[in-house]
Amino acid sequence: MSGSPSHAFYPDRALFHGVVPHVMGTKLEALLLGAPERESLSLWERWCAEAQRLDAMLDRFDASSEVSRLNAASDSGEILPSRELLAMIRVCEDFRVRTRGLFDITRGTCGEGLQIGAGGSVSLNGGSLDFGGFAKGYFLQECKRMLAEAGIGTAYVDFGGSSILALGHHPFGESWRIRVTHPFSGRVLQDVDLVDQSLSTSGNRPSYRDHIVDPRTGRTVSALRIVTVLTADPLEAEILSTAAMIAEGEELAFLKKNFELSEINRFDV
Amino acid sequence: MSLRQFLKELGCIAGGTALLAATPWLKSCTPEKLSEAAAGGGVARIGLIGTGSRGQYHIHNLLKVPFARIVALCDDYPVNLEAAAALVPDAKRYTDYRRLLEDPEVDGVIIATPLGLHAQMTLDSLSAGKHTFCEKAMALTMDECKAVYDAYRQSDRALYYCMQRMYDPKYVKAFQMIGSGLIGDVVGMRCHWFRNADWRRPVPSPELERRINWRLYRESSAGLMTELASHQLEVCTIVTGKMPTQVAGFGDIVYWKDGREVYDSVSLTYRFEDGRNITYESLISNKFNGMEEQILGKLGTMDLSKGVYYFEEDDTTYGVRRLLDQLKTGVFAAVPTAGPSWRPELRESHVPHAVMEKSTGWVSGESMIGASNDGSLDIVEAFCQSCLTGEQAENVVEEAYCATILCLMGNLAMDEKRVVTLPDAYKIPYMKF
Ligand SMILES: NC(=O)c1ccc[n+]([C@@H]2O[C@H](COP(=O)([O-])OP(=O)(O)OC[C@H]3O[C@@H](n4cnc5c(N)ncnc54)[C@H](O)[C@@H]3O)[C@@H](O)[C@H]2O)c1
Repeated sequence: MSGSPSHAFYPDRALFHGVVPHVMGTKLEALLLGAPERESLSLWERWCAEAQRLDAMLDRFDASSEVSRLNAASDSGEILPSRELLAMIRVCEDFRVRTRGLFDITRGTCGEGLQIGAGGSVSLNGGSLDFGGFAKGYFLQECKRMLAEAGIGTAYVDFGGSSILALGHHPFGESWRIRVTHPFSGRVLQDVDLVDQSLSTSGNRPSYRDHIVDPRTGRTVSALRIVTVLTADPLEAEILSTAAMIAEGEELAFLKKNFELSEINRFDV
Repeated sequence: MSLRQFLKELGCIAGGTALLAATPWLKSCTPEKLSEAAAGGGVARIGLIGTGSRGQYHIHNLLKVPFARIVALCDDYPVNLEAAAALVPDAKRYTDYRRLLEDPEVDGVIIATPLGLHAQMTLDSLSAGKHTFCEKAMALTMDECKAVYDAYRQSDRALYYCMQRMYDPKYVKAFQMIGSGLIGDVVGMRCHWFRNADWRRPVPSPELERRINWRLYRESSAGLMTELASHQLEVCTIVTGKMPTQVAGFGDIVYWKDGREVYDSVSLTYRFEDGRNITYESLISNKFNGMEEQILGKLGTMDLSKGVYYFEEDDTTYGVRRLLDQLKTGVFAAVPTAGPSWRPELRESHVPHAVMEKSTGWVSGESMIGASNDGSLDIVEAFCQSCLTGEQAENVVEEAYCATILCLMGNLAMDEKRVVTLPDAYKIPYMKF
């Protein structure tokens, strides 16, 4: 029923709707507006292929992915990632430093991070890489670039309900308006108006808790908490939403100050 | 993900070691203990008895274990012995398993012969002073099970039964999640295993029928119960920490009326003293329902074989669907987000959540030999580690004993068409009721 990707086009509104029920561990769904069917479809097909390609590269649960192969060799000293993966690792390392270790793609090294050698080799020190908090944002970044190239200015891309890219505005409103409710209390927390922006949500839900781990201590975040990050860059939104979940004490203020172009909201009950 | 990687990550999470309390058998195969054991450069020298299909599958797995070496092979069917020898040309060959047991160069013995031979071979192996691993149900009769259990209690050797679910990270994590209350109180269990195949192997000449198709005859096999149900009933006793005491059910040969003696269709209910039930079904002439182990909780359902769980009440909102409706009807309004990621849909009304962050497909249960990544490699590896350390994995024998007794009680209930109660003679201190 909902197993395979599907799409539909509504010519009277030049509205394209595509769904991939299962990619990168969740659902990808998009609305593209204003472009002819052929253009929207061709873009959508490229997205599907790209999401699958990234999945096959980054999925640490798939033994044949590049990340799994690197993880498997993690004990044996230096390893050589592909150029693309190395570039991703560099971006992540940069964010790790800028978030003071709140965001960290290495697991199993208890917050020690990784070392990048001069020749582009990487030492994982026995740990492993986990791109779970990165991949969706990275993909949405690519979507944004491809939309610009295709000249499509109105689109709404929803990746797993937690990562949203909203370009242009709702045809009957002045923005794309998203209601954030508290997953535990059901209380309405905010209505966010997005215009050419991304929203990333992170948090614990009654049905999905204790899934975010503080890389520095190994402790899971169990607070009844939800974080939203609103910013132009989907990757930054993705990364900051995880970091802000974990942040303690002064760290939240530090994040807000250091990433002042992003709007970080955190709600606790 | 391998069990080792899983344990390594667990070791790095605060409270990770506490989680091991729910699965204490893994305490003897942690990465730290392995590095200690391997530091001396020790190698587990393994002898294999029964080199048929599963035996050869183990050989492939053993070849991947860096600290294990296969030194001896035994089978009294030349075709299978030759096939195995081709995989490990340097290993000594035996046709009489007793000779293999006398071989001082063998530290650990893996027995992969038909069920009817398990008890004798295991007893002989333990008394020969070997660490022993046997595939998979304990024995053909309850008396034999008790004899093996008693011998195990007396022995200082490690003993394993290949119930690979106990070593499959997907199951291990699910056990921990259920233990931590994720799906609330466990109120019932439903397990089934459906296939559509005759369960036969081709026989080169008629006098070999009973040897090659040993699964179909009662002198060597207890049928679907020991070969399939044993794995699933074990999951139920682990999850509840309790042993059912009663069983009723029916079994028949419904479709494969080809001279076989074991049922091709079974349907049973096991009852715990507190009133909870396990509903069990297996049929090998229709595979629509596949293989499932569902643990039913007051708050949700864990489907262990698929590695997914469902909640009774779930708060899934359908963001883009709502937008689509708005766009079609010309309305502008706020769209609720699902918040933190929702998981792909498999059922109309219940959203599955993946046990391992990402469910990477599941074992269909169709293979007669073993699926990849199902814990079989991990348990063999753990056994080899025990051959080096001498450390017994907690609860493995006890759980295999409980599961096998349940299977045999089920067969008795079906044969005699009555409610069978667990006899006192087969109770062991490990069992809680
Ligand atoms: N854990 C699991 O998932 C799993 C899966 C498949 C099989 N198994 C178990 O593995 C065991 C073997 O199953 P199989 O499918 O490999 O059967 P099989 O018939 O292919 O192999 C059994 C082998 O034992 C040999 N054998 C019989 N009597 C012997 C004797 N006296 N001395 C030496 N060798 C003897 C046979 O010649 C044969 O080669 C069974 O107990 C089965 O339950 C477990």
